[in-house]
Amino acid sequence: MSITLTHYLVLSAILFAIGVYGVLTRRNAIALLMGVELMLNAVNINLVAMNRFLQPDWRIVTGQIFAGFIIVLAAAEAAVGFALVIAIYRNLDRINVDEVNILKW
Amino acid sequence: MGEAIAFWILSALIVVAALGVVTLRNLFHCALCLGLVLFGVAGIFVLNGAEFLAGVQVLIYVGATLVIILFAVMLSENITGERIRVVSYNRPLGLLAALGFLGVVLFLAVSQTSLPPHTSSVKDPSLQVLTDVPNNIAAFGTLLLTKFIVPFEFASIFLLVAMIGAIVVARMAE
Repeated sequence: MSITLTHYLVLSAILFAIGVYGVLTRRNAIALLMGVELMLNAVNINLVAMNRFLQPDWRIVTGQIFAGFIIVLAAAEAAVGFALVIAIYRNLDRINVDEVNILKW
Repeated sequence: MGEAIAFWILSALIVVAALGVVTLRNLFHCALCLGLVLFGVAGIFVLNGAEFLAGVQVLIYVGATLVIILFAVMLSENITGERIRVVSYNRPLGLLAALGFLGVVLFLAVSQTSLPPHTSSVKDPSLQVLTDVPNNIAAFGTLLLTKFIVPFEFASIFLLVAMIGAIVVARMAE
């Protein structure tokens, strides 16, 4: 059985769902951001696979360029996100997202 | 055939390691599992003819993002030496939401039998620069510096802003 676009879409959906589960259930802010990274990677699989299977001309790599920009965004998100986590941990001495509520009221 | 074998091995690696990321209790092990996922996704990129992106994935994600995560793990460990145990909460609700999402998306992914192929060709004015590129990595660079020059330059400014922001936020304590 040859590998089709659907295989890649299903793999990407499973990876994204695992990321959703991680974001929804983790209390530790670092583990939560790891779930976000999983979801971004799932999106990249989709973009690259779509570019290959739906674009007959191999020279037009628009989907790959889109995935490259998402990698850039993910790197920036990780840098700022983890800097925030470190700042919160230093100032409040806690890392669980449900215990940080000083912006709540 | 070769692609099928590679795909199944990489998929199994990705899914198992991703489950490890969201279920393991030691945060350091979670980060190592995330590294496995990122390597697996790089392999998927190679299978889809995105060799440059696979290299970028290994260099940026595994080389930079994972190191940031490991630093965050180390910096947030208690000074007393007690390791932080990661506990999950809302397990049933999270599982329900993830499975519901997975069901909807799987239905869409399996039932998409008629996605139209892309209609752009190298005869389009904005893509004519690609007429005689030697390989897909050259096509990637050519496209990045012609049609996508504005987002490309924006990305550099964006990275600069993110870097300054990260430094400012992380130094806020002093």
